[in-house]
Amino acid sequence: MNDNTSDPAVRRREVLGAIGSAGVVGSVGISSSIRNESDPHSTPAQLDRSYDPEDYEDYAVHRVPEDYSTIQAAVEAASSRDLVSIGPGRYRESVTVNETDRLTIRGRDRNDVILDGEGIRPNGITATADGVVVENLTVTNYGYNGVYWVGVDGYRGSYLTAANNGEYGVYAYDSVNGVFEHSYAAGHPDSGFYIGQCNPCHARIRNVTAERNGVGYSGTNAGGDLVIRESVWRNNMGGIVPNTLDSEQLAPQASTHIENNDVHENNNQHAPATAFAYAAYGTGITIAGGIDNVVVDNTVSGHANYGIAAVPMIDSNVWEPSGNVIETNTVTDSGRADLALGSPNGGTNRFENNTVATTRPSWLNSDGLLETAMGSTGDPWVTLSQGLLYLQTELGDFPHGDWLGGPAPPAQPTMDDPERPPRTAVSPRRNR
Amino acid sequence: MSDDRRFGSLIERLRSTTSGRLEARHGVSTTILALLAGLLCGSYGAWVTADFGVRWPAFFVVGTVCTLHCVRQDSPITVVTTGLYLLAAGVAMTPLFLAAGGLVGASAQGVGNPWQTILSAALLVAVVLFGVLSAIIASIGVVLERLFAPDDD
Repeated sequence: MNDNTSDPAVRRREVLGAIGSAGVVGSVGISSSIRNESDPHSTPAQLDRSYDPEDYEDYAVHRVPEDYSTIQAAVEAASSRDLVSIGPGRYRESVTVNETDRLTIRGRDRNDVILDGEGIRPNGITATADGVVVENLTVTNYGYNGVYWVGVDGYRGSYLTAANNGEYGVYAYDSVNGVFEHSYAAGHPDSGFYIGQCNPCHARIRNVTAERNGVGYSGTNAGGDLVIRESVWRNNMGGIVPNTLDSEQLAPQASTHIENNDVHENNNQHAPATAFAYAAYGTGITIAGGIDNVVVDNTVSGHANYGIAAVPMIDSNVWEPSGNVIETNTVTDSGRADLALGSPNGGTNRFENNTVATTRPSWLNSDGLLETAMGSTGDPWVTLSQGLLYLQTELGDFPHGDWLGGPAPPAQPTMDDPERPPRTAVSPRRNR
Repeated sequence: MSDDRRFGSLIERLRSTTSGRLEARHGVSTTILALLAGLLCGSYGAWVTADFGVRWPAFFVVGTVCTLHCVRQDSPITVVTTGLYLLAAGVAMTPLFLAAGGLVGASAQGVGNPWQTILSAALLVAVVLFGVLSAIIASIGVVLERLFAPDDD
């Protein structure tokens, strides 16, 4: 098994200091992003563009186990645009795609095509080639990631089940133009879904479910046309956590659009969790040192600490949340407060027209001068309470479960037609 | 000039410039100071209890109790020091409210063992830090009290 610390992303995450710790709603034209694309933080949270894939016309099909005994052997034999079609079975191997761009790796049955790391292999599928698509299969028991794209332009994970892997479930790092959709991730100590170090990311996470993870979604220094929508985030240690860290490039985290998600009961003390994840315990949506994020129309309920919180991130620098817009969300049954803004913060955070019962500080969700004042000052209590969680991880043990040996994932909906032609990762492609 | 004599001289100068206001018997200034102390203590009480949804009741109850306690004092300086002692007591109790807020919130959501997230070394650190802060505030009160105490001889 590879040492996890050999992975640069892991090393960066491990130097995390502390968490002390999203207007523009809706679509804007592509032209607005072109205006200043050289500034990594100038792209809005959401652009009006299509992410629907298009069929390839010329391709070959490589069948496992009919034509090849292993998936890796089929990958090595494949050319660009080809389809590696995997039959039901348990495959005890790690797969890497380094050379063949626009390859599609697809299981013929999502629940019965299982890549098994047995707790000793690092990653299920690693793609460093552009445009690789992974569909309709299950990855489990890997020491680090289930499915992992790194440094690529174009990626898509559809109908994936990632369960009980050692760090992340479905993971894209330093990558742009991607989609995670119709997927399920459970039992990961860091996050079920992760997109990190990209701006503009030009990415979508939609129709996914994350449960029993450290956090459902983590996005370090990721944003710019990055949309998380219509997904379920439940029973994790913490819910959705866009965050800033000095240990990765492109800080601060900026411009993620979080819309119409169901975020509930992320207080799971039995979920596997890293220190980072535990710091987000009991909060539905935590903006940790992020700027210009948009959090809109989400339903958030049943959290021990806060429903939606924007807090500073204390790392090598103190990253203060600013310019975030939190509006028209419905937040209920939060232990400390439904809406919260920590201090210090960079001001200009707007909390408007949310359906809530409690806020910290007071009048955070009001109109007028008071709201403006509170959106600028924040409440140190919020930072303090979240900071104590992180301090707990630094000074001693904290409640969490183990990733290896977690419950088997429930059966998930499979692709309608696993024999259909392979398709592009996203469409139209940008920046190529 | 020795440090003792220099310090004594400083006290004398402070006394001479402020005695007219701070050592006066009960009056308007005492009442105003008592109200300010009540406002400060009430605000702090509201802040630490907001997790329980009793921000405003806490503000009025703590503020009223503090004001009434302070307004009974004989002189402005004892009003100030009493207010500082009450605030110090509130600051010292802050970690308890911090922990209780998490405990109540977790219990309300049916979290398996809410104590696991509450009773930790981190809470101990908070107790020490707020204890130190409390001691600093109380010490200011002690210094002021001694500084402006009436001469016995």
